[in-house]
Amino acid sequence: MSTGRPKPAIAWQRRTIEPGIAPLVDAMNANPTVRTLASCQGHFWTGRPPFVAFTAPVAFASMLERMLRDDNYFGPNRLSTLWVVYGGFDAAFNLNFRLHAPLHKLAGPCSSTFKRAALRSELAALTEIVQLLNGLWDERQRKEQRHGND
Amino acid sequence: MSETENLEPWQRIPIEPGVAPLVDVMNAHPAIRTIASCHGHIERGTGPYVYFAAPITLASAIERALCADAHGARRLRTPWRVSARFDGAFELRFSLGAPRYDVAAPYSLVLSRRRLDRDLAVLTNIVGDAVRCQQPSTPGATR
Repeated sequence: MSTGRPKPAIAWQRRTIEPGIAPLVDAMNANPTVRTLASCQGHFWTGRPPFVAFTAPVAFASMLERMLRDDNYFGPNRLSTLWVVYGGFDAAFNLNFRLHAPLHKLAGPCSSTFKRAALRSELAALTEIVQLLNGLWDERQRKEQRHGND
Repeated sequence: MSETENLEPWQRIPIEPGVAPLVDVMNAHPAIRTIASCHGHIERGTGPYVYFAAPITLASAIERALCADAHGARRLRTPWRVSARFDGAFELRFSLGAPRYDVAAPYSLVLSRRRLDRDLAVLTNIVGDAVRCQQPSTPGATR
């Protein structure tokens, strides 16, 4: 029997979004078809690279992958390393995506202050790319709607 | 004219024997098309995989079958996973692989090869059963 009280969030859901990745997470969630599931801004102590896990239509994830590759291969090279979108199945066997940079090395001899600044600009560039993508996505949805009405 | 004449050089490479039964089982389903495969090279630390095109529901069914084995009968010695990537045309493609085999074997290569071959044989049965349940003509099949 339901008591009518909201179910308490489990520990990992109560954690706040880390400030370094929050603008990117916000930009992704600004698209109504996207929902972020987990994220990390990157940790120099442990060498853990940043990521955002999310659910979205395959077409959105594909467009994001295209924009990331275009930036890396054809310019304007706002990203210093290749970011990719990988897919995987969650515990309910639904397809989820993960935006991350597999070659990103946070741990190493280079100054972490320098690396932190580089990572900040990298995440800012990613946020811009996602905002741009949201505009393209809206345009695409409008076009599809128009075709549907015709 | 031979069948292989129109193929790219990489497409003419024969399927490696260890992974061939698995590839055949997957291609037996009309909605699955294998693209590349490897039966694993323990001495080099390159794990086995099958890269394939399929509807998401089918890839999910394979993942579900692998998960059921890992939490039930545990016939597979190591966890196998289905992951997804976008190809050069930005189409979603899947990869069935076991990341644990991506490390060179620390001991007997012969023993490791035997274990891997046994895993591939078990995997062929698991994947075969999973994709047969998803045949378009069978009840409950994906549309």
